[in-house]
Amino acid sequence: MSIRFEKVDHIYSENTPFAYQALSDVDLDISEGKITAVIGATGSGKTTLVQHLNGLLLPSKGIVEVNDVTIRAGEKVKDIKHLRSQVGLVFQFAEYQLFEETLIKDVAFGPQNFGMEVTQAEKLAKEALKTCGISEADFDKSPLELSGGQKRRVAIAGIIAMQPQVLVLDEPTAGLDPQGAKMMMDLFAQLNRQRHITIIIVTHNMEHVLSYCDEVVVMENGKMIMHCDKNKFFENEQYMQKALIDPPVIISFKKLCAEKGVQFSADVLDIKTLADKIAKRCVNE
Amino acid sequence: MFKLDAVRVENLNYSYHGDKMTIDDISFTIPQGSYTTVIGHNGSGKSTLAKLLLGLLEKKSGNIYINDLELNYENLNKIRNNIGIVFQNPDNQFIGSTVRDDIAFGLENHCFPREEMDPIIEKYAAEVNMSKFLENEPTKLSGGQKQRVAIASVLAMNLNIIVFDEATSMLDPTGKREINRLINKIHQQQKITIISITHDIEEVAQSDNVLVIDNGKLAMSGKPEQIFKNEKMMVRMKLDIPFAYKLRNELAKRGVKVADTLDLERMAEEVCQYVLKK
Amino acid sequence: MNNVTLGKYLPLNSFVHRLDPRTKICVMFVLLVGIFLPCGFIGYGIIGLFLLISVFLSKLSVGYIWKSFKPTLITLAFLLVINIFVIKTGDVLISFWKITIYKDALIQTLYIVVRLLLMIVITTLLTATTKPLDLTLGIEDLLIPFEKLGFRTHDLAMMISLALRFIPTLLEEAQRILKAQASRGVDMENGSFKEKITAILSLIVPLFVSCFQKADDLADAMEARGYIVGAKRVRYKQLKFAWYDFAVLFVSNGLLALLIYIWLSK
Repeated sequence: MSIRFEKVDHIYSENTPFAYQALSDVDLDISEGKITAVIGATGSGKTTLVQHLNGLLLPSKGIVEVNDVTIRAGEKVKDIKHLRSQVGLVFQFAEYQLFEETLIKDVAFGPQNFGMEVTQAEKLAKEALKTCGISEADFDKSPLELSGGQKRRVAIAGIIAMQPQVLVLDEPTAGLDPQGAKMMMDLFAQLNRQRHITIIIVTHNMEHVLSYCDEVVVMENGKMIMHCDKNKFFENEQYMQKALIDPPVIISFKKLCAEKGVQFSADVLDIKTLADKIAKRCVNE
Repeated sequence: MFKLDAVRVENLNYSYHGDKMTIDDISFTIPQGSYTTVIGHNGSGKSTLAKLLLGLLEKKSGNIYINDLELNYENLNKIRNNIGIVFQNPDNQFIGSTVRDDIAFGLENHCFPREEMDPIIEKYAAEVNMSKFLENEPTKLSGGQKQRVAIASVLAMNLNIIVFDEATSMLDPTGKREINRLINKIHQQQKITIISITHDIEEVAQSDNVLVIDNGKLAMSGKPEQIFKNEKMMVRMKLDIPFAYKLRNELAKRGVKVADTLDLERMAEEVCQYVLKK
Repeated sequence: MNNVTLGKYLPLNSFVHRLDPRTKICVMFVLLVGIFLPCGFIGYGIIGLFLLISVFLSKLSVGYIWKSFKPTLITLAFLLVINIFVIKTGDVLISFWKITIYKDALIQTLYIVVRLLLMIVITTLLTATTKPLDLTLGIEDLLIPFEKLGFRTHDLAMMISLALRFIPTLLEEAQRILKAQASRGVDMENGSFKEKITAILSLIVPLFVSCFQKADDLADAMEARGYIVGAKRVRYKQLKFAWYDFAVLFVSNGLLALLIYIWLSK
């Protein structure tokens, strides 16, 4: 599953006085089977970028290729449904898309839209709900009876049941408590490992990027200014400054230590390794 | 250090449907001028507690006193002259059609004289750094800016206790930083009592008192150091602990002893001392 | 959505924009009464002239007003056809095949066309030059005398202004839900009747849920800031008449007097 952007521009309300260029000249290759984080300030074009992946937005200029589907600016996309069944997109505050009377019906809604039989769709729905940590006893409940975090997991199950090869998530943990957010991120990591789903996450949470993602794409003012390996990104302080982000605590901590004369090697990126290094006094002086 | 109680809660009970207690026999006091954080995972009853303090929900039993004033039906309006709240969703609490109108809304309700409104609005808009945006409509503001307006609207009513119900949880990092800085500023400069419901563990680490709510009960209260020391409880309640404590615990497992501190800078010092002391 | 011009506010800086909303509402009423006075085309000419001057003073383009009028053209064409069949009085104008067109049919239709055109110009002028909120304030003030009859003017105004405040928010929300459902394979345009119903439900239900959530939050926020339904409060926004408001009211009432004179002397 290859994903490629070639010189992509996106202009909202083109040819009107309200025209606004949200993407300019984006070239991007997203690696298959990895978890890629898309980061950047609000209004930098992250959401616009990912909405091109399933044809919700079409490029004003340039080419977007997702596997066997090519979207060219100005051309009609032939098989948009096929594309949407391959690329599952989960919106911010996804819990607001639930509408059926029961969880199972809601989750089976997506697969049915793509032409699946009810029984098969419900089978997939059950699997997806289980994967997302919803207990079987709740399957026939109304979405309105659930808590916010549970609702969001149901909404994500609704996308997973479509069996997409690419899962795109727009700030999936916004508004959740730390425990809920961790469960969510663990779920994505599991989907990535077990089903080899390519995952793209738009996020502001650098701790999540550090602990879960493989690659980082940095957006700024509609331009893609950086695309690199996660470790490389966090090892290099200038990268983080360029992306105007607050580094994860462990990075700030290492920096404080460095100022006091103790350097930890750049690949120490989790607390257990750090504790090991301290205990063994294994540092670069 | 603190004399009067800003909030005193005695044996408070509340339930939504009558069966299970959403708030179960909670008692605590919050001193005037203090910064208190309330933690607990989603669904533990934190937001319900906040609404009870404002009289937005009707308690089942128990007593609530705000600045020694009993919260009851007759006192409701007076209570809301003492305590205000900033909610989570920036959009759903923006009432006016412009920033100016939104700040005016509370003044209108509390029947401030009309001639005084403009100076008050301008003063508090400046306080939250929104003077340039007074005529803006909410659709033209960022989430952080809307929350700043919400804070100005509460401040304008001239009250001295503000509850923040996860006020930064829907904001981006820039917005979060802005709002946290603003909360600290009004706490320090205007001596406003802050009650902040939050998931931000570093904010908790810097507060004066912490209330831990679990399953509608007050599980623990005290200084942040005391709370975080009880690691077992924190894990059981699925709550996060600050990085410095996590590192201290990891080091303890490896037989390395460092001093207790929540401060990252001091922790770095401790670690460096240990590493360099060969 | 962007093609609808009727009822949209255009932020320009003109004499008409600066007028007090109460003045504009009153003038609108005066003109509407004028339109329904049987003064014939002379009356319409006078009103038309007044409106032409107003449009010029408001800096709105004629094209803009034409755009508001366009959607009604089909209705008018339909009306013309009906009138041709129904009205059989006056001189015969044309007769061909089995259809005879009488003069009265044309005149009747023309009357209706002119009336409608004038009314659309009036409402477009009002809404394009007055912010919705100012309009609400104007209505609130004008309805104050009815409060003595138990009519809760203030609550009504608060409801209207909150509705206005949340329209953009809800539109944004609707767009987001639409996109989210499209990502789940919903096709709003194609599909069988049953599929279309489901597609619409998948938009409407979440929008309702979100609306109720917002209403709940909003009620809490309002109450927390001391709002009590029906209680006394001081209104911050005040409308003020300027000298030109009186002038405009004077002119428009003079116009009405003239029309009444024409009607009575006929």
